[in-house]
Amino acid sequence: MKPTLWALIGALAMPLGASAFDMRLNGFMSIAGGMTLGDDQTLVIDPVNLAAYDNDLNFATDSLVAIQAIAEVNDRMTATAQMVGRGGEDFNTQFEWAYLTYEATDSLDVKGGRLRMPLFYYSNFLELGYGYQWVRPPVETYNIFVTTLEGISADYNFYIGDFSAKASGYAGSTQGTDPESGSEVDFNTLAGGSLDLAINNLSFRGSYNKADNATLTREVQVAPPPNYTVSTVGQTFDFPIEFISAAALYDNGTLFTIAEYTSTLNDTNLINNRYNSYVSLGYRVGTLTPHATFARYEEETNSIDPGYNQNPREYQSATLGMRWDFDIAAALKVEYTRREDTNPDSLRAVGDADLLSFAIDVVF
Amino acid sequence: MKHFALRTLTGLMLTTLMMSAAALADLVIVVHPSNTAVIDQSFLKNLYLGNTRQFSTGVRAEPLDLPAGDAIRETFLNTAIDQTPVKYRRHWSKALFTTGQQPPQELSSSTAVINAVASDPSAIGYADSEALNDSVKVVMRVRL
Repeated sequence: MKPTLWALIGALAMPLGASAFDMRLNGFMSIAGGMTLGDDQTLVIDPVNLAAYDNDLNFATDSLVAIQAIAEVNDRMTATAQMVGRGGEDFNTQFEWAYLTYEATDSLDVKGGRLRMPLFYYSNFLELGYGYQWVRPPVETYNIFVTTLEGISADYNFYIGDFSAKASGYAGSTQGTDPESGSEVDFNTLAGGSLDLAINNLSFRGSYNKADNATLTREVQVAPPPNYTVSTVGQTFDFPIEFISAAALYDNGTLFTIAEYTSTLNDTNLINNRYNSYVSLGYRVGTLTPHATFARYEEETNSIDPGYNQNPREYQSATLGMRWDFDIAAALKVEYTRREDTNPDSLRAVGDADLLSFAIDVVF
Repeated sequence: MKHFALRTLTGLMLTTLMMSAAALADLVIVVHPSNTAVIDQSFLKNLYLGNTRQFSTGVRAEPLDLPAGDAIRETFLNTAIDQTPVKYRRHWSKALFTTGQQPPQELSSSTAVINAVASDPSAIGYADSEALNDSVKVVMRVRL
């Protein structure tokens, strides 16, 4: 762990006694490890840093630590900061959250600052291992390399008959570098909304997110006249993109299941459209939770200019795992994932892989 | 004879224990004497799970908890708001780390809860009736 992290924790912890704010410190940590079972197998699990497992046992890829501080500014306003250090990035910490919340009414919260990009169901708590059954949510769906945005959001809680509902909207901007291509993506304005509905043991979430004026900058080699010397220049393209998600959950306390379908649509030749989904089933027996998941990743080329089409990738995975809640605030997980590249032989890109991984997740 | 005496003694002690248990075996939900809000089970559940932040009167509500592992707390979770300790913990961990919503404040004992409620019109808590005094208003009673 980096000394900077501890310095930050120290800096945050100090005002506890000294300041007028009522402040609470919380955090969570995952210590995880794993390896693929074949010599030539790699499996990318962290889209932000492209961290992957290979045939050597690795303890960094899925490990992370997060510290969260909440200070009450006054009765209606709180300041929240959350720092996450990921093992795949040498535990360098990033502020995933840094925002002010204003409770406008009993049912309306407004936030401003650095927020999570709430694209899909688990996007808001992607790193909180304690909050789900797996070592990590399915990478077939959770493969977006930007996780935060700077902007504002509003959450409104209400009831529709027997349904409890939450409507959320947000707008902001963010940028990131695709670790796979090196392209820089700038979401000048990303805006979206989601609706959560819950009744008894059933809940649903749908979301739509759009960045109309996003750009992508790619380095290209050019050899301009008169002397045709090859040089590298950044070339910027329009990169309008949409993210859509629909999720359904059932949880009766013992048996639970979740299914989610997401799509990432892009009206250019720059990247392929993505259609991703997973379905997971788990059963709690005392402190044990065996679970099974099937996930699928599919791409479709945009047929705008077939000359530039990239080969669509497709793969799927099956995961069998066990979660053991050995303490009220801690869980041990072990799981086995079998991924198959379902492209025809000549187009295979990611390859098959067998991954064995485990994690200890704690909240404090 | 000796055995009989011993058994009688044990029996007596048990009866005494049970009687005293019956006498103080209540869990009470308490608010400030000035609080006139309607408080029922569904309100308690919504408040302790963070779905609402105010009383029926529109006044802000500050729920108080006892520490994890406390027997009174487990009774409250099970009977009043229909939660197991693990389910409750999971709910708040998720809420805390997804929306930044804070769980009810934890106080160390029933006496601390009574004292806090007595001095704060927005506070609401549960306590062992043994710690009860007339500085607070009882709005609900749960037999243990």
